[in-house]
Amino acid sequence: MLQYIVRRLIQFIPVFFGVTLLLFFITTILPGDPVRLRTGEKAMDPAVYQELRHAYGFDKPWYEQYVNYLKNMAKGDLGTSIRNGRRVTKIFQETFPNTVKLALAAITLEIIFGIGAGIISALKQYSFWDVMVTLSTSILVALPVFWLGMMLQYFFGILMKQWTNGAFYLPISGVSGGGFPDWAHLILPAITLASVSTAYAARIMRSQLLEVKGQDYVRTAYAKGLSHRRVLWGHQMKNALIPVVTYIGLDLAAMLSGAILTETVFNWPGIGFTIYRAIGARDYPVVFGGVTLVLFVVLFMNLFVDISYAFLDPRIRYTPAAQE
Amino acid sequence: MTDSDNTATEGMENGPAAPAAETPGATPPGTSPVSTSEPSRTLWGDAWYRLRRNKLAIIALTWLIVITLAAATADLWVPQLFGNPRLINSQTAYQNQLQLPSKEHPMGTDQMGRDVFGRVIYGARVSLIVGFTAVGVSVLIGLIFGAMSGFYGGFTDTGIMRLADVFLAFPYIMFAILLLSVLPQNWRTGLWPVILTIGVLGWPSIARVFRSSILSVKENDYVQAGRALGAKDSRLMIRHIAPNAVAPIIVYATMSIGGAILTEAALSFLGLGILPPNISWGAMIQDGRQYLVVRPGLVFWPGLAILSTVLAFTLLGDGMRDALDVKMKD
Repeated sequence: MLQYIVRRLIQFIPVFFGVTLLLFFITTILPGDPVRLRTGEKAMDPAVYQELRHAYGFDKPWYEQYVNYLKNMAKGDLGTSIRNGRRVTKIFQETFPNTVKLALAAITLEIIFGIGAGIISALKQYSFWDVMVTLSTSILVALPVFWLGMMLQYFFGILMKQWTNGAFYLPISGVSGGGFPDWAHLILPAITLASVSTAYAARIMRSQLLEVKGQDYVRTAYAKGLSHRRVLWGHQMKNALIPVVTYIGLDLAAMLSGAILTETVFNWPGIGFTIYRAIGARDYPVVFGGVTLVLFVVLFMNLFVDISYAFLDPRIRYTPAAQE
Repeated sequence: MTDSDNTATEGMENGPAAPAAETPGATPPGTSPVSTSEPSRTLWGDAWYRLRRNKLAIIALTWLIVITLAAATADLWVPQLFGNPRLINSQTAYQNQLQLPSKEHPMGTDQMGRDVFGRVIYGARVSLIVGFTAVGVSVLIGLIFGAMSGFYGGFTDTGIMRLADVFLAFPYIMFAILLLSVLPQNWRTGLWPVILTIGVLGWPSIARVFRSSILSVKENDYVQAGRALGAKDSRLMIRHIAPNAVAPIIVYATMSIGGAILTEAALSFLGLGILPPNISWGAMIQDGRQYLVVRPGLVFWPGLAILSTVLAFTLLGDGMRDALDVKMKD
């Protein structure tokens, strides 16, 4: 086990440097003028420009810049916003809790409905419900998330309000206000964010259950005279769940890294929405800082999921790192 | 070849795309259509025969042909019937804006008085071009890297696969946002920045798929025979390995086109993708967003266009997977 973790950590090193190097090149070396990107498009005295170039260290060779870049990152310094002069780390500290709240709500929906639909679908293969699940997951996977969000807004926020004369409808934006309890604001964004991943989770659950169905150990379990229920929950689910759990773990990482589309549609003040607004405002330090943060969340969550995967599934520990 | 593959994979399904294999009309994997009494068909003829019997795939294919034709011929009929979809006529924009659907404007008009139907048709053109070329770019890069990785193995393989890891570690959309937002404004015009961004980000999956299919083909006897006869690496690769390893790539690429279209729409929705005067479904949705209460159609129609097109590529891809008898692991 320890050996596996160590091996996994060693593998992580090149990925880490690769990612930071790529990020560094995109944000400082690639085409535009890095000083301009960080100061906006105002007219500027050439002397001031040179001074800034020096202050940012853009006059140094690239490897020194890269080392500095890593140092700043280690210190938690991601720069300051052009628009309001606030520290980028501070901005994201404030918005991260909202993203976490939304991600947890969405992942809960995903676990309940994704796994539930997958189990029903697999147990009643080729039944009406199975066809329904297959059909709806196909459609969900092809949906543009932002469009789904807006359609939900229109149906539950606007049409419902008209039909019931304002007696029942759901809030369509923000985290609070409008006379709703705070949790009500989570409903539509959470459904939107969960939609596509729920479809994937259901598909994986279904195909995994169908796969273990024919395995020897399941036949043996039946031969021992165990009930259907015991075989399903005690034997089949144990193995079938592993890939589903992995998928959901990785998905949580993606959600924690800011669901930029969902948050934008619902004006949800999380990481994604902050990055979206920074793009519109050409506030590049916030965009770069936000993306950097997101990448780190994803990188470390992936590592974490991989390691916990080995805890769940002993087979992983013994196979030489399968890189397929 | 198909027979042995079938026995190896019977009842085994993997990955999220698997359920569609059970859709009504799909050929059950156990029934191999190759029968000895019929005149022999090629692999592709065989695949086409099976694809034709998959109703969903044929509906999807028909839909794709219809929108492709509509988009390709748009210049000939859309401006005449529905007015120029890009032009904002400041004289009439106000009186024509935000109309409800009518005979002249089947989907109504937008906030600038332009016909929504015409814009959806032109949006199809952009989406299809971006989808196909972006995947083309991914396939080109992916095939080269995948081939090197699978064929040479060892250090080359490790290096390329680590590079793929780095790319895959980035959340796709964030990477695209980053790349597009650092481009200087005057480089952002046209479709190429979006095509290249999506294309470059897509190569690792293609490379992995191609690599693993090369690995499974490489050890076959006929390749060994070729090697024993003294064939060069390039000849082995092009004549013997690639033709037999290419089916998964075709299936995967078809499915990826839908994904590329979705990504383009998302980027355009965020204001980073296709910029005016080019018309993109994602940008139309962003524009229509503020009129959602009064004219939901401005958001609804472009979204429906995205959904139907992406769904069609997915279903066609599923059908081709079954027809070509490709096993896909996620």
